[in-house]
Amino acid sequence: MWRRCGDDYLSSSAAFNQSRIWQNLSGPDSARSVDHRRKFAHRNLWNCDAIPLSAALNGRGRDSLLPTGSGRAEPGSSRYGGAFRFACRSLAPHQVASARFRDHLVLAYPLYEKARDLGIKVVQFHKGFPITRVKLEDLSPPDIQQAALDFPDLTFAVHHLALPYFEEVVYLASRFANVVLVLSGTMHLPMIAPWEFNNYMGRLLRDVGSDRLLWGSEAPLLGNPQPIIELFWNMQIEPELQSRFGYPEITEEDKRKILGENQARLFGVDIRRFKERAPAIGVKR
Amino acid sequence: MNDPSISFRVREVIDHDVRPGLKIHGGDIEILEITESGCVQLAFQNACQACPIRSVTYAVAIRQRLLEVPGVSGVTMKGVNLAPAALERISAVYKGSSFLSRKPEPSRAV
Repeated sequence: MWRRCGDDYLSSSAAFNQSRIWQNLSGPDSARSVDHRRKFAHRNLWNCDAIPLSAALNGRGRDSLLPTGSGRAEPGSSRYGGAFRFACRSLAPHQVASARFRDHLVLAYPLYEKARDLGIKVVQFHKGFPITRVKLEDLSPPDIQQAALDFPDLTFAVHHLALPYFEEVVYLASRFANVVLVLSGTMHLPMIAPWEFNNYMGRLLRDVGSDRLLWGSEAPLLGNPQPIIELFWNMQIEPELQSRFGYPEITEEDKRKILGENQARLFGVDIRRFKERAPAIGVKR
Repeated sequence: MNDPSISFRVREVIDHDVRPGLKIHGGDIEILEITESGCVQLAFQNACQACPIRSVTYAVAIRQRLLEVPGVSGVTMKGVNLAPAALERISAVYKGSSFLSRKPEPSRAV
């Protein structure tokens, strides 16, 4: 039964429902179609009570792009549809939902389907880096797995290296070709703790590869990104780290991909054409 | 305090450049003291107090920005423990560059 006490909606009732849903997904059912699994998910979820959608999808108030409030929403209601339409305009549903819901057949999958209908290719997720008192486990990345499997034509971008869930996010990205990792929030780490950052980079280059790593500046909060870009451009993986952990060197090609070429590929930007035009619009190399 | 305009400039930068960014994440900042020698003592408020990356926010987004304010000689943050070596690295990286990616508006060129 749903309880009206803010976060407890998510931590107890929702988790309970989620576990019931996954019971249905385990075993032979896991290989069945999304529609088949959604049928069971619907039955389990909605039998309980009407879900307060703003709590389930938003739950965190002002950090969300979704409308807030505590009203109830049921499938087919205007609030339910409105919330999804609102979210679907965004490429980055930043902390839109409790993380446990992101691969949720009923709540999250319609978002992905709508995104696909709108021609959106990349959906992005705030993982790790808890803001305010968001529960840490709500920001762990494994819930991306099933969605990445069910929507192979979408690219799932995971921000902040999901820290402190680095190990999990490496295992996630190394197994799913349609998962990319965004270095947002970690690009200033070389100044604070260079060995820690180089350890992350070495591990990512070794196990994920530079084709699926994206630069993220956090410039709105952390200011002019140029010094950090130059710092990254000049970085190397220390020989000791290479020797001890088998990390590869970071090459100029790796850096070019991470700093922009991967983003260009994902968002359909023709870099060669842009480079030709760059001098004319005052962009230096 | 010898130069009251330092206090004005610091408060202006915090109100216009720093605080809005922190508030996006549910955080805030309090000015504890601005000493005669231009040392600004601060304390994080709300979400920033318990944020695991508050050392980056302090060292880059706040300290580096305030050090560009004329008259400010140092910036400390209550509860943030960061090695001097890290602060020196940050200063070295930003040497010759401004924290700002664009010039401030003429009316508040601090």
